[in-house]
Amino acid sequence: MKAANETNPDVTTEVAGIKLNSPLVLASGILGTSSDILKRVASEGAGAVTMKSIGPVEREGHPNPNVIEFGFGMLNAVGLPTPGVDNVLQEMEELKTSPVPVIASVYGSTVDDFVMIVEKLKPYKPAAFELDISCPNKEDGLAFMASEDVVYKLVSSVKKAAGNIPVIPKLSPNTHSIPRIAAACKKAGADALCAINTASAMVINIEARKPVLAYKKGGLSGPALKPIAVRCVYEAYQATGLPIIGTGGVTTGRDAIEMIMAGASAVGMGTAVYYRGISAFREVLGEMKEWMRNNNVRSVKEIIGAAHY
Amino acid sequence: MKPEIETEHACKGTIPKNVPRMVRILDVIEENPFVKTFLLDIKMDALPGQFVMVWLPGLDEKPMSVRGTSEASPAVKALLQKAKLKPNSEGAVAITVEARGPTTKELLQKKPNDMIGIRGPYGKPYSIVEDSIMVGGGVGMPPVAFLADILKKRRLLQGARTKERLLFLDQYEDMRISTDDGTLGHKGFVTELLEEEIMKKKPKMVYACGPELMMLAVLRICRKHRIPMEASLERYMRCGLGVCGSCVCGNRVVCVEGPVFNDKELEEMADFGKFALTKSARKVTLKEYYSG
Ligand SMILES: Cc1cc2nc3c(=O)[nH]c(=O)nc-3n(C[C@H](O)[C@H](O)[C@H](O)COP(=O)(O)OP(=O)(O)OC[C@H]3O[C@@H](n4cnc5c(N)ncnc54)[C@H](O)[C@@H]3O)c2cc1C
Ligand SMILES: Cc1cc2nc3c(=O)[nH]c(=O)nc-3n(C[C@H](O)[C@H](O)[C@H](O)COP(=O)(O)O)c2cc1C
Ligand code: FES
Repeated sequence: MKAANETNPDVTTEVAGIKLNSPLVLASGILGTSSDILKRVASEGAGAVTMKSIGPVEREGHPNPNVIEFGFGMLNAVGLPTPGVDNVLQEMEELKTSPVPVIASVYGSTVDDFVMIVEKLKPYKPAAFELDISCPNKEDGLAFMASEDVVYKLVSSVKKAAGNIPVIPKLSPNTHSIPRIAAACKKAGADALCAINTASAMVINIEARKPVLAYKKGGLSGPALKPIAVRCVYEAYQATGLPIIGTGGVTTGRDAIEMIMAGASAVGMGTAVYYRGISAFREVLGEMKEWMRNNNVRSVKEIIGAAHY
Repeated sequence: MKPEIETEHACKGTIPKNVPRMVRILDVIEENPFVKTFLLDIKMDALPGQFVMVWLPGLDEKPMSVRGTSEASPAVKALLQKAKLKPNSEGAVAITVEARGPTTKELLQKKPNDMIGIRGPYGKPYSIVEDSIMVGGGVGMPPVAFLADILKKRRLLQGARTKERLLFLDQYEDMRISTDDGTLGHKGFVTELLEEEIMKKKPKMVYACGPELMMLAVLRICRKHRIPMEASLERYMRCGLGVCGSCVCGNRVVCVEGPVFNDKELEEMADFGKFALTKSARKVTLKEYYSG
């Protein structure tokens, strides 16, 4: 029998019944504005791709600057621009030929918004619906995170509308309790969780004496977010045992392994695309495999939640 | 490649490169009734085809091509010397801006000593190939002029709707001109001048920047004559950092993989000459995109 460090480690994984050849998933809002670019990210090594969050009606988002990189990560307040659900159906059609699973991210102001969008997208059979209840850059973006009852009502309604397509609520670190919100999602029938979205933050230009982002506040992503994300994934895993797409600040293979040990079954990457380009997916997977070989880990599944004791 | 995380900047108290820094306007030059050039007090290693993001605090931030730097562009250096200007940062960057909507109109109101925010340079520049022809149209001229400053052996062509829209006439005496209405130079399209020049002597490269349909026509001419070409694309931009997806054209990310693309890339780009994404990321025809 070959020793583990001579074999090719098994990096396949599964989230909400979706089988992935790589645990690395393109996070929502990073490049995912069109089917062409999503398919390219898919063909360059992502295990799954998430579309830019789709809203009920067309929306332009906030003025610039709405993304900056400040040395330890990024802040963005793009403000959820969307062509609106009716204008993405053509893209959904074209995504049927994606080489990897496509997750449709959805946002809205009300339960009815979410249900309406999910019903319209359902015929195109995305691999899953991710519910963006965690955007800090829209007036009411965090409303669903404020209460277990509200999030329960949303997730259970969407579950009914989604039929057999899995539903994955995406959590915000800006909440009173990750364990309680995560547990409410589970009780409502969530198939998996995505954690986390960006953390509300601000950068001021002291010469201009103004916040740099036009929306003033923005969501923190990238390396500075990682320890917060690892904590949230750890708590959500402990509270629910649900599969998790662990997202936040992952830019290297070691980061991805850390996220998996916190309890993630798959790992979302967004801001890494700034630091390393689209090739981040292939490169990080290579680094994961190298670490696994050096540490005698045969399979990603072996180490999910390994940091819990 | 390991990620380059710029903790150094943040820890040493300097301004990280992707946060706009406030810079002084050294001088403002009126190019024509709709266009002004701004000389900015900032030292920057920028190449032709690259762009900066220009921030008007409280209003908006927009992409602008680098017209030239005092180090690389003799024309920009001459502007500095003519006005007897001594920038604090020992270098200057020029941008040339056309009044189009709210932000550019506000920018055109700015005076010397006013401050604006700048980050960059961003994007992939033009390659540098001697014995080339460059074709500029409208506010596609600034990057093309920067390129003309750097190359020793080149032919420069400019097309515009009418005489009063032309740029940099006094800076390039050898520039050939076409106007749609014949008010100056050849009456007709600048692509007709291009064909004429190619017939005179086949160049090693053709560079284009201007309206997308002009660039598409240039691409077709170059393909016919088997001449390599490069063009600079314009798409709606937010981050300039290759993450937000606002600027994608086909499966390419214009802000980091472009804005300059070569003939082969342009031919493979499904949306080139056809579609662009609006601010809300809805895919529309170029005609609809430019009508607002
Ligand atoms: C790489 C690049 C280089 C450019 N270089 C120059 C230059 O050297 N000189 C110059 O005058 N103009 C240049 N532009 C165009 C310039 O960015 C727009 O004219 C400007 O953003 C208009 O802003 P506004 O508020 O005045 O008008 P708006 O009313 O906001 O927009 C008018 C039109 O400008 C374009 N536009 C607006 N916002 C953006 C944006 N964020 N990104 C891209 N396009 C936008 C759209 O076509 C829009 O329909 C460049 C654009 C790009 C992408
Ligand atoms: C520019 C940008 C846009 C984003 N847009 C969305 C979005 O539309 N929907 C969403 O659920 N998350 C969005 N996010 C959050 C990311 O999906 C991700 O949760 C977050 O950035 C943390 O991961 P990272 O550090 O790997 O980027 C966005 C992030 C960035 C940087
Ligand atoms: S402007 Fe954001 S990806 Fe190009």
